[in-house]
Amino acid sequence: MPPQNRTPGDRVALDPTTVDDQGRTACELADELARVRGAWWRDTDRAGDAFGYRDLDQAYQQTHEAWFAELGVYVEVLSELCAKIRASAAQYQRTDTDSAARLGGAR
Amino acid sequence: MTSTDRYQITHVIQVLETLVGSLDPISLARDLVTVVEVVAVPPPGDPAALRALAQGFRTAGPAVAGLSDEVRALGRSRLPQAWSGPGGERAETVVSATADLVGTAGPALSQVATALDAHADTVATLQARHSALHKELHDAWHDATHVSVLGFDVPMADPLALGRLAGSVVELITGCIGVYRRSLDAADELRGQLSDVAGRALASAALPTGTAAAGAVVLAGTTVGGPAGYDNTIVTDAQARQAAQRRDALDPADRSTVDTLLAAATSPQERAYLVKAFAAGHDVADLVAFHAQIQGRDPQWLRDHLSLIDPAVPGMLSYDGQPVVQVNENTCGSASILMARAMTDPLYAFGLTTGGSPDDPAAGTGAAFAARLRAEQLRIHDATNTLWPESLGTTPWGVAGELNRHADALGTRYDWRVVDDTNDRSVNPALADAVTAVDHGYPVPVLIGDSYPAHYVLAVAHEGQDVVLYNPSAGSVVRVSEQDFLDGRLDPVGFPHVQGVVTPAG
Repeated sequence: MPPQNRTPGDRVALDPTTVDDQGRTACELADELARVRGAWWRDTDRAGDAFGYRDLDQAYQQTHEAWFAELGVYVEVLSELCAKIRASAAQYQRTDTDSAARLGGAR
Repeated sequence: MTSTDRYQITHVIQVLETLVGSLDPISLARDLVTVVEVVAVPPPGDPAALRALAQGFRTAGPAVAGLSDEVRALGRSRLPQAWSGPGGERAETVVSATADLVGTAGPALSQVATALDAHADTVATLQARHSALHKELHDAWHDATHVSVLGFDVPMADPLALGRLAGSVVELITGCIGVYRRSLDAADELRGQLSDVAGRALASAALPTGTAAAGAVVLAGTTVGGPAGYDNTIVTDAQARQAAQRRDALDPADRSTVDTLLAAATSPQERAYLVKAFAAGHDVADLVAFHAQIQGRDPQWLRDHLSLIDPAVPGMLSYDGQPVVQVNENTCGSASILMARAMTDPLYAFGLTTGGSPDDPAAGTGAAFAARLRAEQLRIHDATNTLWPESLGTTPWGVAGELNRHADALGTRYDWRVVDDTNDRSVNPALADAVTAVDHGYPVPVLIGDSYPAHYVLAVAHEGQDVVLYNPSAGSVVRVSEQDFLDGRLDPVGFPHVQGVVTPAG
């Protein structure tokens, strides 16, 4: 296919070292978000009798739990991204090295 | 004071109102004893504890907001520069969706901090005012029941002092009633703000729909159009939960079919509309047929044909140049029901815009849409007014009944409530419940009028200090301030008073 007719999905290029670094960045962001989430939870989990009204206390607990779960999903996604981005970088590197070897290059 | 039921405070108000209406100098001494006992209960809440909670949210908000910038940089520049191709594009999509959601988390947490601090200030002010009023009442009681003899307090009724005190005691009791009412209102306001923020935790709601966390994040960030805000995600948190429950209830073969169907979606929007259709109660066969009709359509086509309204965009609503409006003066209720169904069921919207034949140019025209809109409104009007004169419009119980015929699609049953707008404590809780319902993705018909019920509008979204209404008479999306809405002042949609609401049951 002539290059000018290519769509973005036709071309695959990956810089394994840089992509692996970005994967690590995702890991660091996941760790930092998990730390912020944990600190926030510890600071805000025990409302005691702050609200006075029972239904207001329930509304607070629901909001608190909803956002604890929500931030947890973000942490999970960033962790998944970290693992998958780094795995892709490693696999690309292996595939390229294997191809080079099959073609008689150094392993 | 330990956590109290709001009915305790409401009861205190009722007792005080009864007393203030029956005070006279003869019974004043006895009544004052009762009043002093009744108002011993301070307005509930602990300002210091509220501020401590607020500080926890205030610390977390900016920290999360800062991380969202980092995530965005990863998705928008660093990763695309190093990885092109389908895998890189998918990673970029997930990272960008995550950045968008993390970007909403910081402001959401900060909003809670601000709301908690404001509530702490209100509680502190009310408790100080209450303390002062309580002391004044106690002093009034003391003055009325003691006389000074040779510099000594002698317990003895003082008829002259009692007569002078009657007027000022009424003021003091009225002041206490005001303090307790404001306490209830402040609690309602905070509850509404917390509900608004809870309703924005969309990814965790989407997680159980059979997707991995990455899919949940993309689903949660997929809007009708434009950036997330004003409850404009295609799948609401309530619908995500409905879809998860329905998926759990499927047998393995059907579950596999649904999962395969969702995996085959060609865009996040296509997938979101499939999840929405599934949440609306359509069976697997309907879902497969629906997917065949929409597969591969571009996001704008999907938006035009499957969403009649984007709550984030104020102004006139139209489809192919035709206004999405009530077709005669009696169908505001019918048009509100139609919009509520169209917002929750994409197959219903698809039927209105295409007649089920998306590839037939004649079926998709504005004129064809207008004809279907008219026929459907008249059908709903007939169905909701079997015993009621059609010329008087639709009753609240008629609206609730018609919505309940589609409870599966709407995800809830509805009840109607008449609102006494001369009584703040009637208007405010009913409309606060309406806002809470909207926060979780349930549209709410609101009956408004002047001296009599005259018109329906549909509450469709809530964001920050705004409530968003669909006004079927103009065919428009209108924002009103949350406080005006909670107070029942809806002049921007033509009538000054709220007469009733049709809210989710329970």
